[in-house]
Amino acid sequence: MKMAASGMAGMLIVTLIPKSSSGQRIHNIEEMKHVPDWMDHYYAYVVDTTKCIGCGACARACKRENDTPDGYSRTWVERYQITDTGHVYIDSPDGGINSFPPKDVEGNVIKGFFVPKLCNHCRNTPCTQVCPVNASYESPQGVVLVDKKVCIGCGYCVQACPYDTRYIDPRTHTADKCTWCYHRVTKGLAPACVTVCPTKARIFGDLKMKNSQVREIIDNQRVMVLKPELNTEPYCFYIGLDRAVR
Amino acid sequence: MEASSLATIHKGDDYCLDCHEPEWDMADAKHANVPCESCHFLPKPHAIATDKADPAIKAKADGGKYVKLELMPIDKTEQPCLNCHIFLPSRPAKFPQIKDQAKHKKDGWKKTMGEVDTKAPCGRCHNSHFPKAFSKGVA
Repeated sequence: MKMAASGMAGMLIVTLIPKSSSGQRIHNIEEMKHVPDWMDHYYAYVVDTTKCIGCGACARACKRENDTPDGYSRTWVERYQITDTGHVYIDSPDGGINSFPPKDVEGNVIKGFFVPKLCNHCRNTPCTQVCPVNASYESPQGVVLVDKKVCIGCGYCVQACPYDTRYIDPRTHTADKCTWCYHRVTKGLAPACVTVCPTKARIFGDLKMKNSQVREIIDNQRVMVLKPELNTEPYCFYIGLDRAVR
Repeated sequence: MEASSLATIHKGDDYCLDCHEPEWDMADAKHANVPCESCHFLPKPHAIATDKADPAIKAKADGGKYVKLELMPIDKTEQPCLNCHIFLPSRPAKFPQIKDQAKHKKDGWKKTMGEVDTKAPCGRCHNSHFPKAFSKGVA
């Protein structure tokens, strides 16, 4: 895998240069300036639920960036509304891709928040363990990926994921999931959802970098993971997670 | 296809700022964190190098080529604003939100323009880059 990865880096530089119709380079885009050494990174993701406003920009960006089929989403936003009657209302219309229309609930909302969800890129991941053909694997940078050339679309991983982040792509009949925009992060860019978040509720970074924001947050702030009782060791961390969140 | 070899779609603000000087002081603008792509759609090559002169040509590129500029589309409806600013109880309380759109427009117009037009889009009173409403007489 190491050989394949380092070989790819050289190829990417060429394909990234945007060219005009006459072949002349016009933009000197940022991604050209950073070609990372792939093996020197270990990524993590932080979601600050106290900042999320539920605008849905992340879900829209993910759909555009990764061309996910209609009705499927690699990331989505859930709305939680807890009323004074003790009810917890959870909804996510179309994954929050068109933001959230106001919703009438019984009683007064005493506590409300949005929780963006995505693949947790677990270290002890159930999805790769159940794959009968080893199509699901963990990259050296800590990103869980699916090799679509190997995947037979049996759907075991879709059932095994406790976070419901996988789906079978109806076009290719193979498993698909959030890759933390692997094609972007390997070029030194942040995932699309992080790039477009207007309140910086989504933070992505490299744990091996000393000044990385995710490392600082995980080291100094009180962070939580989803379903810790399952011992999946997610590398997607949450700030301000409520007990109502499942 | 290797997961890493896919083309990037979202370019980020740096892509735009390579050519465009920001018209505002990013540090002061409340929308400095809102990416260009949120309202201006995905960046596409709209500076096209050509060999011949054209009325639309406004600049010259390196190597003596002319650059033809095409306007980027922009969503001028209320929807991009409301995606973030319509009132929802789940949003952080400190985030600026509009509870009653009709009332907001009525009160806002009285304050800034002296007359009421509830059909006007958000851009009539607010500059997207500096969202603070225009003062009276400045439109």
